[in-house]
Amino acid sequence: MSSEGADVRSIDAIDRFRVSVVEFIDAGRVSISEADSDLDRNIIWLEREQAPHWIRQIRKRQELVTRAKSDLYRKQTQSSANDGRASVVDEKVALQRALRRLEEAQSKLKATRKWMRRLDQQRITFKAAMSGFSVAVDHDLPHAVGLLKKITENLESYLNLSPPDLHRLIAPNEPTDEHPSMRRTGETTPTDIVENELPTEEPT
Amino acid sequence: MSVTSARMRMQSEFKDLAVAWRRVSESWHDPVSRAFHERRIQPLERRIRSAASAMEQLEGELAQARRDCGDD
Repeated sequence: MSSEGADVRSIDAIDRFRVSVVEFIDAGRVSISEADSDLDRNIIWLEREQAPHWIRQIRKRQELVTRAKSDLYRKQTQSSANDGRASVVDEKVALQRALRRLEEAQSKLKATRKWMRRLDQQRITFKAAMSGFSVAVDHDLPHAVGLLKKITENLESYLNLSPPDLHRLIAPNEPTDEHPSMRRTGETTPTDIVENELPTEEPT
Repeated sequence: MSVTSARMRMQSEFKDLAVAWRRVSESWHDPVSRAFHERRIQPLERRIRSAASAMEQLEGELAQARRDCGDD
């Protein structure tokens, strides 16, 4: 029990704050779930869309390289038959371009496989990094909501047990404090009852 | 919804909670309210910072993955 009394001027204010904590818990849970879902969506995108996409692209671009090589070979053969006068520059450029595009697709597939492994690992790292906040929204804050509820219930019971206001009976016309405090120094106070129930922060 | 919007929601909701706490503090200041602040609000602030930092890092990773693996 504390030597200092409870000093609460509005039970409604504590109740409103409790509602804010409940709203924060909901928003926090949604945030964690959204972040997890985004990570999962990206892993699925890599596994089910990008990896098969780049495999198809490699096959397609290999065919284009083969075709470009055939075109060049055919042109070189025709050129030899025509005293080497026909230009093969366009075919060489087309082959270079086809080879470059094949390399790009191969490199994309390699990157996709690398990121699939990396994001899978990231899922574990991210969960660990978010564990403190998860504990807060799943355990600490719901417990805090319970305490706030108990505080307001105790204060309400305490007010119901209060003796008649002697001052008001003796001098009814004197102005009184518009927001009287429930402070009762030196007595056991309604909030003291729950003070010792506030646990210390759990290690994360 | 993305990690970015999740982080922004978390931070924005925490700002609202901090405002709500300041408001209740105006009419509740005794040892219990101080204990509540020290044991519930302050640790939460640290946890939010740590979660936001993890989310920012993940945002960067996902953006890089999309660049590296998306269509050229």
